Parts: sequence; structure tokens; C-alpha cells
Amino acid sequence: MEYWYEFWLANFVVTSIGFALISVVVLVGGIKDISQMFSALQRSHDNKHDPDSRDHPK
Amino acid sequence: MHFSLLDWAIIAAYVVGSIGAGLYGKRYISGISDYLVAGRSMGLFLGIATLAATENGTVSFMYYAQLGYQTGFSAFINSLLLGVTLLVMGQTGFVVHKLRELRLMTIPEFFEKRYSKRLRILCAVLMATGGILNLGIFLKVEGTFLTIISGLPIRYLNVTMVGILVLETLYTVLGGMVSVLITDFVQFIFLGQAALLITVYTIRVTGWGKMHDAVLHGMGAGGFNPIINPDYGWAYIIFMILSDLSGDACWQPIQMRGFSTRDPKTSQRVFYWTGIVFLALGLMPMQWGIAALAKLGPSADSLQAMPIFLSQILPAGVLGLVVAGMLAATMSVNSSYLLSWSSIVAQDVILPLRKKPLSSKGQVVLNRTTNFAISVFILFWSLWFTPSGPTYFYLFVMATVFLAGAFAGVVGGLYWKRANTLGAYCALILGICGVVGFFFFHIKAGYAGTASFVLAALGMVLGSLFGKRDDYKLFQMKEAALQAAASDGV
Repeated sequence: MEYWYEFWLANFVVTSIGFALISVVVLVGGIKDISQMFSALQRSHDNKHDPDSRDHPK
Repeated sequence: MHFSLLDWAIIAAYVVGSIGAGLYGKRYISGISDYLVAGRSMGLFLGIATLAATENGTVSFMYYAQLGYQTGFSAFINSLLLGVTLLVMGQTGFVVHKLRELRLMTIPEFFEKRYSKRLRILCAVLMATGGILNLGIFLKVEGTFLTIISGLPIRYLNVTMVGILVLETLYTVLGGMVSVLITDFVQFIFLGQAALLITVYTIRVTGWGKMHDAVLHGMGAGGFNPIINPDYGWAYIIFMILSDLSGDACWQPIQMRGFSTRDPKTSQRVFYWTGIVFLALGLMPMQWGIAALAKLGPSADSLQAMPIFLSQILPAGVLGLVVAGMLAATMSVNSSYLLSWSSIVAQDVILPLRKKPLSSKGQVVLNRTTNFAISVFILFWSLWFTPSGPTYFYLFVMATVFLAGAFAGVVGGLYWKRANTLGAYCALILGICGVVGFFFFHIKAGYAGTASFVLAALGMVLGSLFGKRDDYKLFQMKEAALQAAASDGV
């Protein structure tokens, strides 16, 4: 039983630290991703091309 | 009332900022692919944020905490299985890679590409029914949490629910996936810091020793070992593995993130890294539930114990940040789910039944309309219905209504040449049987759920072996994948 407790405790600590680090990386990287997404959508809007406009099945 | 002026100011600032960010996304919607999958322009980090935010809301925090309160450290098995399945899917690309190659917008769309249009509609009806009924109880659980932790009198529960729904419907209807991605990103930051803050406070107040002792005295060895715990055991573990795999593969809100990425490789990486995030965002609220058990004892209401406990220990300012985080979690899940189920109703039920095709802009209007209609339904369902038993079990069994059959259909369709339309029909219909057993014959969730997956798989295999071959459909699908790879520049 104590082995299970120690296993869960170790899981918890390692995962929480990993999550904290990932959150910081996602914060920095995500801002750049949003900017790139806006650029891509703006380019697509300017080209007035929707590749899925014929996706509706007849 | 637990809230100070500072707490209310933090909440107000978050709500205004979040809604503003969401409404900003509307200007980038020029067609249906922008509205549903953000023009397939989502990068890795935004993908991690949105996938994590979509599947980790106040409801999941509440039911994870409830599991922790009721089953102690054994509850951690749920999170471990979920995290590991995502990691494996991300590492191997199982289902994720091939689905993204097809440039889909919905899961039922796959069923038409691989099988038939009628199967697409059946799959969509099952998915939308299970998904909307699943979403239908979220508001009440979320409203319960927010009213308890803020100290608002419980008579304000309905007003709280309506307020939450109106805000998230506003930016989801107008800005679609673009708005949802922006708000999910903001919300991920808030909910992440809230989760870490709560964890630090609960451990400081309670301590690991007291949590260990509370579980030991209340549950014995079953509170640590999930295999001997009467609520879990091997049947449950097998069911959860199947459920997690099928959910990752066929749950529309999850796969919609995969469909929105720049290319299949990014999809895989999103799934892989989000596995760790899911693991953390499951373990932490379970630990809060155990801390609530240590502090309040075993006779509190299992669903309300965690918010009552937090309202007692969190100081002013911190409470506001935490509630802003939980509100963020609530809105990210609800908005994503609203978009997902409304897209299925619009794209996979209404559009295939129409005789005349609809323009891209027309499809956007249709999706906005179904989104709004489902919001209204959710409000009334939430007010009227309350599930009995642990919320977690209800949610998973409702999802199994279509997940078992859909999983067999998707995996068979992607990896088995012999899979055909008859097999997929049998899988979908037989997959419902376990849910019938759970609700009407009170068979335990683990056995009923596993039975659903086994029956669905049997249906796929036997139906495919006895039915006509669909080689031409398979050829068409592979051609579509090659063309899509060219479009993605891969």
C-alpha cells in the first residue's frame, strides 16, 4: 500500500513541475502562434479562397 | 459572501478582457473553414493551450475532486490512463495523423468519405445527442462551484448559469474557432495559474501526512490501490483505456483541434505534449478533493466538498484569481463544446439532408444558428436534469453512446482494407448496448462500458466480413489524402 502512495506522490510532483514548465513555454510560444494564425487568415481572406467551400456533399 | 471588492475586480477584468479577445476573432472569419477549423493555421503551442483548455473545465475539476474525495489516491489512475493514452497517440500518430491528412472538419465527415452519406448522418445524430446531453449537465455543476466558492446565495445559481452561457455563446457564435482559440489561450493561462495556486494552498493548509491518514482511515488500502478499490478494478481500468483512446480519436472537441493544425505532424506533437498537461490537470483537482476530505471529514456532499473547502482557505485576491481561472476553465470548455456539437448538427445532419448545396458564407450562418439553438437547449436541460451517482461515470457513459461504435468505425476505416459500410453500421448500433445496460439494468460502468467496445468491434468485424467490399471508397479516401498533403505543403 505504501508503495502505491509513494508512486502516486512521485507522479504528482513530477507532473506538476512539468506542467508549470510547459505553461511558461506555451505562454511565450502561443503568442507567436496567434500572430502567425492571424497572418495566415488575413492572407487567405485577401486571396478570397476557401478550400472547403465545396466540401458540402451534394 | 467570501468575495472582496478586489476579487470582484479581478473577475470583471478577466471577463471583459476575455470577451473582447474573443470578439476580435470575428474579423478573420471569411468562410466555413475559418469558422470551424481556423483555416487550419494553428501552431503547436496554441494547440496545446486550446486542447488543454477545451478538456479541462470546472466540471472536470469538480468531478476529479469528487473522485479524490470518494476514492482517495486510487482516483489518480483515471488521470494516469488519460495522460498516457494521449502520449502514446501523439508519439505513434495513431488515428491522429491519418485523420488530419484528410482535411476533415468533423468526425462524421470521415464516415461519408470512407463509408456512406447515410452513415455520416447516423453517426452525427448519435454524436450530437450524446455530446449535447453530456454538455447539458455542465452548467449546473459549474454554477454550483462558482456560487459556493464566491459565497453567493444558492438562489443565484440559475442567474449565474445564464450569465455564463450568454457570455460564451456571444463570442462562439460570432467568431467560431478563431475566437475560441484566442479565448482558450487566455483561459489556459488563467486556469493553469489557478490550478497551481490552489495546489500550493491546499498542500500548505492540509499537508501530505493528513491527506494520507484521512484516506487510510476512510478507505483502507483501497484508497491507494485502484485494483482492489471496489469502484475501480481491472474491468474499469480496461474500460477507461478504451474510453480514453476512443475519446482522443473520435471526440469532436478534441479532434477539431487536430483538424485545425497546420499539418499532421503538428497534430501529433500537440497530442503528445498535451498528455502531460492532462495528467497534471487531473491529478491536481483530485488532490484538492483528498485535502477536502482531510479537512471536512467524510460526511460532506462529495461534489460540493472541494469548493466549500477552497472558499474557507483561500485569502482575498487569491480567491479572485482562482475563480477567474475556474471561470476561464468553464468558458473554454463550454465554448469549444458548443462549437463542436453545433458544427456536427449543421455540417453532418442538416447539410447532407438539403437538396441544394449551401455557399461557404451560408454554412457560417447555419453554424451560427445551430450554435445559438443548442445554447438555449443546454440552458433548459441544465435547469431540469441532475444525474444520480458520481458525475464522472454519467459523463463517460453518455459519451460511450457513440464513442464505442465511432471508434470501431474510424479505426477499422483507417487501418483495415476489409472494413465496410455494413460493419460500421453494426459497430455504431451494437456500441449503444453497454449504455442500455448501465442505465436500465444497473450494470457497473466498467463492465457496461467494456461490453460496448467489445460489441462494437465484433459488429465491425462480422459486418465487414459478411458485407460488400468498399474498395472504391478506400481508393477515393487515399487519393483525397494525397491531395491534402499537397495542399498542406507536406
